[in-house]
Amino acid sequence: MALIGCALRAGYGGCAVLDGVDFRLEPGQLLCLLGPNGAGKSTLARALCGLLPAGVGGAVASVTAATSTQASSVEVDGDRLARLSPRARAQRIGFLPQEIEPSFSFRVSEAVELGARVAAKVSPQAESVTAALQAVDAEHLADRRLDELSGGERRRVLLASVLAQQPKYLVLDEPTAMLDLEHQVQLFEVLRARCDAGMGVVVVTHDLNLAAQWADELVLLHRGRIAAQGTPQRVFVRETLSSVFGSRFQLLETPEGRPVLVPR
Amino acid sequence: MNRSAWTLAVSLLAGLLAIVLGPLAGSVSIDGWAEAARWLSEPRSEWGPDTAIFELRLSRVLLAFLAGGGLACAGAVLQTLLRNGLATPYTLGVASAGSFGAFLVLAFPAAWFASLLGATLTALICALGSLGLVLALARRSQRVDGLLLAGVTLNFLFGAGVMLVRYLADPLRLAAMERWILGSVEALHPSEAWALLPWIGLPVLGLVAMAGDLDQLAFDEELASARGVTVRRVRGLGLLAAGVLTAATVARVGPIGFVGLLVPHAIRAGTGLRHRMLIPACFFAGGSLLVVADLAARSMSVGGRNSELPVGILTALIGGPCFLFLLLRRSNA
Repeated sequence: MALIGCALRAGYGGCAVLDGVDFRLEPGQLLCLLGPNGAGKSTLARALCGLLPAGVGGAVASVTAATSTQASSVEVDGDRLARLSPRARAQRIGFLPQEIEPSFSFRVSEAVELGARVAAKVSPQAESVTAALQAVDAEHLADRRLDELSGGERRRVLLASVLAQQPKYLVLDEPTAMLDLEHQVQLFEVLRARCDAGMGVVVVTHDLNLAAQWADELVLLHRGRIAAQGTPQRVFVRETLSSVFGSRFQLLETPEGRPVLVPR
Repeated sequence: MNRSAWTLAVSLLAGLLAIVLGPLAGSVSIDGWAEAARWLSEPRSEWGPDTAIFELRLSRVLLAFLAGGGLACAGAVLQTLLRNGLATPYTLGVASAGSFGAFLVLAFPAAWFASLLGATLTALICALGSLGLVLALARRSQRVDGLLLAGVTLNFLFGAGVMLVRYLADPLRLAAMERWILGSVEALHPSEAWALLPWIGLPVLGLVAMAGDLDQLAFDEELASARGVTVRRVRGLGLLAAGVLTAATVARVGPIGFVGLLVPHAIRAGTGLRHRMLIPACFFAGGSLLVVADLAARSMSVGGRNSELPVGILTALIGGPCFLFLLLRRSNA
């Protein structure tokens, strides 16, 4: 039982972004995907959701196994992702992209309901919409329009719509971007609660400190390969970090023993 | 009942009223209910002249209803798929292309394509071809308004094509061609409306069947894809449906503009973006709008001529300013 990526290779127009990445996410695990711009974080996130071979979002990308002896593949709980129907895939893995561009003015409740419709469990949609909005502290926004909200409110509503999908694994691309400190922490609290309930969560983020405080496991990507992997204490090592991000930082520790990075 | 169910109920009611009451009204006054009863119960040989008038009006109402409903649904699905509130069969040039095809057949009925394909299929080929072209042009231009600019360009080209055909055509056919190009829902027999029914009914039912996928697509393409929607298939089928609706309508009633633009905008304000409600509500509302517009048009006598105004002129006169209003509102936003 796990979400497993095997020797993942992917590129955009002949230029390789992911170069043979192995990945494993257990149910109940909160994993943060770190790395500098262009390291392949979003590409890996999409590949895990089975979104790359279709070449969606304008970029022509594909998962290939050109030079490797082992075929590139994603498995979810023992099933090959490529063999699942699109709907079955969506019921197991929920994905929240970096940017959403609704073409019309959606109501918040409508947007969340779109996620609830995908859920495998048959439950009254109005209830699951409310529950998902409650989870992200956005109940009061239900009747507002999505394009009237602030950037942070919008991100929270979108998270609610993916939560309403009730997937077994959740892949979030930069969910904390544009959130204030309070809501960043709240978001990770929500995710932690979901993990405790058995969900596996991948968070792509640029916020190293948030990742270090909350994640069970970190995967540090650099130029399409895994530079380091493991608990925050194992990955936040001066040599490893400076080989990826440069050396303009100071590495400290919280009283709880979690690493903290201070730029300088 | 929520707002969206209300909108559907009201448009359904408007549709029923338009079909039932439409044949009762007109420039000549007849005892509508009695003639309707006679039309239903008595054989054709025993009809009076008023019954014949009733049948003419009924045919016309049915044809207008199907054409209006089809155009409104085509507009609704194009706006969703192309993610542009100003996309309609007319603004994209699809209707001009269809008109050009139908016009060709009207002008040269003896030509090989006319006898082989007939007006509807020729219009369909031209409409789908131009839809493909407009999408390809828009993709290459990389501009936000590339789609509309490509549509404007195709409108010019096919407009020129129509003029050329008119110039080359047999002068004896010009009167019929002229009448058609103004857009008219004249019909002599209900069978003329029934002939259009499968071309409108099947695509509309198809769109309702994929309503859930259209909802997801309207929200975000990548998210839709992550939620199990096969984006390419839904988009392809939706564009095909819009092309068939437009081409079949245009081939039969001529270019009647702006129904496909205005109706989806108005209905969306009520139903929101649930296509399961939006598409049927657009069908009924578009149908009743065109029935009413045609009723208004045929009741008007313009310039002292004792002839009725083609409905295409009326919808264009009303729709033009409305399009401008939507365009300005969008650029202010």
